[in-house]
Amino acid sequence: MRKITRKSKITREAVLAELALMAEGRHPECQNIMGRFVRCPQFQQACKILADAIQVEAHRYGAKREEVPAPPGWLLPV
Amino acid sequence: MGHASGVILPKLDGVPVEYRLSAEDPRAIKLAQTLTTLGLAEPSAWEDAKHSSTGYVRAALKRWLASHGGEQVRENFSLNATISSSPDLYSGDDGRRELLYLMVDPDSAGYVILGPTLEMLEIIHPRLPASFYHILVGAIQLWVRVYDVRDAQYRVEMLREWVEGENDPERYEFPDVEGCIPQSMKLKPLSLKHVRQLAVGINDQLSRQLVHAALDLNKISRRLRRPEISEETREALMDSNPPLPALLISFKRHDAVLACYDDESQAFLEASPEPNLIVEIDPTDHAGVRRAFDTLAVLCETMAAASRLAALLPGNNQEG
Repeated sequence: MRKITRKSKITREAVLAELALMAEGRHPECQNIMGRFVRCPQFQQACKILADAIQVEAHRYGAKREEVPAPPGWLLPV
Repeated sequence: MGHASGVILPKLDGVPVEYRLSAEDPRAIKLAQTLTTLGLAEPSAWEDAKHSSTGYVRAALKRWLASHGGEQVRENFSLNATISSSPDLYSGDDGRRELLYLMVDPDSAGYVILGPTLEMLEIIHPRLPASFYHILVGAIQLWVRVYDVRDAQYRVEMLREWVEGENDPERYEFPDVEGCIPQSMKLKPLSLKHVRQLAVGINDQLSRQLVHAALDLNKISRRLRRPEISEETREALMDSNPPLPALLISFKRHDAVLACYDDESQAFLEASPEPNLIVEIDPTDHAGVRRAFDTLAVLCETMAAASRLAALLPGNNQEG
């Protein structure tokens, strides 16, 4: 039986065009939240500040974490 | 019937459960662009790589290895080629942020036994065994580390120095490396020109094939010189162990060279080993990328030639 192989018809120009979009951060994948996070130092810095703040608060309250009020409509912290 | 607590779970409808990002490293994108422009990457691999620049670069590397004797190399050697953002695969320390590093390292060492070959060549010319040995080791050593009798001699010398200060150094035994070296290996090797002349007149078919294979290996290995690495990369590797051997050469099965290797190999990974080959790649420099891939091609073809030669060696594949 003859084996049928599927050969992609994508051209070199098409690959280069898509890579150029990626390099400029304009590829659709770069627009999602993770893409923006990876490309944006300010976003990364803001997340770090937020994560550090949560960490500090968690240490400060220790066993009394229930004192941190949960946002309305959310489950209380366990 | 219970009462509702009034607490609700936030709705996750419409929130993506997975994000996939192929723009993980801008250097990979730049390298993918350069490889495509140079024709080193196959556009048809782009969809197979799911539009990931890293996967696409990996496919290009695999294709390059396959077209330069990769399969033949695998018959006797276990080598890995990697393109990394760090010059130190073990610690993952960052190198220069704008560069990538093409590296080759072994998973384990190939093994050849040269004793029977040397005996065979001695019949043709007393100095041919040493010449053959030096051509073979010299060619392979240009690209990967070979562990051979010289390493074993150095190991024993070091062990002797360690026990010198002991009260009774006589109670220590060391592998008899000097005793395992064939007499023919102690003669001065012939010049390359002389070996070439000699090769033409060898009547025995296997001996002739072996000498021609060694000369061929020597020629292939010298097609290119490995590129120099920058001072910064050299510094990053300063505290590394020597590279892991990609090939072990002994004269007989279970001889003193093998004993030294077994002993020494236990410390090979005590610190990160230096890569056997490391080439710095500026992904935007087309000529540099081409040179890096050409360098890899010569390494591959050298090891493929070594693999062909290993397949000819008498007594190399006997069990025991």
